[in-house]
Amino acid sequence: MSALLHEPVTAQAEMRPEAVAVARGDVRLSYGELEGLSNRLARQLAAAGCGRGERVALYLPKSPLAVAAMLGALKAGAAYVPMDPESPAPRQARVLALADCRVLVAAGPVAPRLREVLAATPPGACPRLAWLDDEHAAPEGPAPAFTLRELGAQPARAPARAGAPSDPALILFTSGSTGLPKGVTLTHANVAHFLGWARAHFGLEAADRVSQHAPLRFDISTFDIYGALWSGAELHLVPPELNLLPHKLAQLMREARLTQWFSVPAVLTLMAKFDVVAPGDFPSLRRVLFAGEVMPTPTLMYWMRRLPHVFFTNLYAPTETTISSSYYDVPRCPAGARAPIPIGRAVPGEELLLLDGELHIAGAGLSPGYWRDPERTAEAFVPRPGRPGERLYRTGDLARVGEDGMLYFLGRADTQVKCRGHRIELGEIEAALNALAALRESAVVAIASSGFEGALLCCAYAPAPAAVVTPQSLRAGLAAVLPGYMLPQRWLRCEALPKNDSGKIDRAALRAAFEGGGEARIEEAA
Amino acid sequence: MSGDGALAQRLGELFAETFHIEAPAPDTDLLESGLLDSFQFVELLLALERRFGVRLKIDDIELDDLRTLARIARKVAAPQGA
Repeated sequence: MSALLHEPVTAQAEMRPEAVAVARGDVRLSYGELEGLSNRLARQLAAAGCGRGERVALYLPKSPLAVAAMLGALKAGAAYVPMDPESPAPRQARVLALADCRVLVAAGPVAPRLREVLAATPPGACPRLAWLDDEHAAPEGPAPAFTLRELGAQPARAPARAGAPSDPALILFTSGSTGLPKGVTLTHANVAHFLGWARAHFGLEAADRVSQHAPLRFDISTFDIYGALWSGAELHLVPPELNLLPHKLAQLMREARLTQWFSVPAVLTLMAKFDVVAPGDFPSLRRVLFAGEVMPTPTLMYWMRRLPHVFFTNLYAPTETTISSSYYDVPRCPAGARAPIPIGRAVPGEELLLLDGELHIAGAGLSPGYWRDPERTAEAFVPRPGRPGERLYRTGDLARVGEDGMLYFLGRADTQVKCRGHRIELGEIEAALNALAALRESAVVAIASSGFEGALLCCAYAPAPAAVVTPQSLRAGLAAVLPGYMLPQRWLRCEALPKNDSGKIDRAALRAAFEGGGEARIEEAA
Repeated sequence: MSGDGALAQRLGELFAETFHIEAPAPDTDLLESGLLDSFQFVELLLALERRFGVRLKIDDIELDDLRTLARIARKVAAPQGA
């Protein structure tokens, strides 16, 4: 019988209850404590009517408690939905309404924002609140369904097994091109399949000290978390605010003596730009893994030259195919800054097919689809030609096979972009712009940035007659409905947007204008 | 202190121009309000260098130095390497 995601963690807790499981700074949970806390939460969730077939929203800062809450939800038989408290309240409310969670587990200084979110959620879809924090006040309103006090009264013993490997374990919401976020459902079996390969390939063991850098709503975080906890290793949560200070990230890697680091390339580039890695730095480090966007070759060269003792691997997969479908173990430092880094070859159990240049993925990592969205699921998960009953995920990624037999990413078939690892549909930004009354027309394009952040979002707009519009007012309008990483950074005012022969907005011309910084040229063209 | 205050105000203007937002008050928590993220931080460093001719040494910066415009002003005004 295939394992549920929390079961191997329980096995570790039985073997080594005193060992450190999760750490953030000085806050640590041992395997025994993690087990007890998550068992209590599972029992309390069950008492609140939340079990198999239900969902639990997680509204907590990245913390050992957040990891315990994930395990607690799974042990109750439910799936968890990590929320993004920094995204605007109306967007969060849409996610909550769509996810239809029975309970929302919250902690930290989130009360004002959470209150806004709950007020904006339709009453029928409003989850019951579990407030797991003695230091911060719960949001005003109805009393929480339970708190840490009720949790403490529950027995710490494991509850009976609830759920099956094909059950949803987590739902991760991501940008949708029509303006509505979509939830990628991942099952226990999806994640367990990847873990089975990856733990062996990377040789994860109890002596490992593993970074947890990505936000908890990124699928790659599930490898950090379950990869470490299935192995009896230490999971070190990286505080998100350290991303401002690359030297502090390096300091954490050094002081926690991390053996594995996994992040989006943007973070590795930021650290390289500020040159915070010394030759031979991080003597405990064994592996650096990266995923989520294209790795700039100069960044990889910087890291590999300084850390010859470290093993570097590029992982590739959309969230829909779970953490990673292909991998590339970098054999040696790239010869030149222009040599592209391949996305490699398929992880065993996965298949990558090139159909008309577009990557399609089949295999055990394939998500059952988008949560309660059969239409968008049918568009992206298509029947596999010649194999009745099998499905393919259309990635929208264009690729080619190199002479070395490796796959190389070439770009997108649509207007999805990656920005600091965030997956952004330009259509979602445009939908939000269209909802602002002051604009006659607008378009968002992405250009490559010279910095570390990947794509640079650029907005061209033509104001409605007599409307007073500034980039500042547009940005403020968008900030009320979109998360910060989706806000355009460059703005261009036009009398009319340039059009191509078929009358559509000429995006190539807009990109060229932003790349050249040539605003005047566009005004003339328009 | 009044020097720092004026500097904080000029930083606010720089912030508004660079990021297309309303100038934050000198004591607004930039981190908690999400006004400063790693992308903007790098842009801010570049803008500080261009506008004020100051080059902040990243190794000397603590998270708390970046929390508000008033604190950034203090950091900018402080003799470097002190």
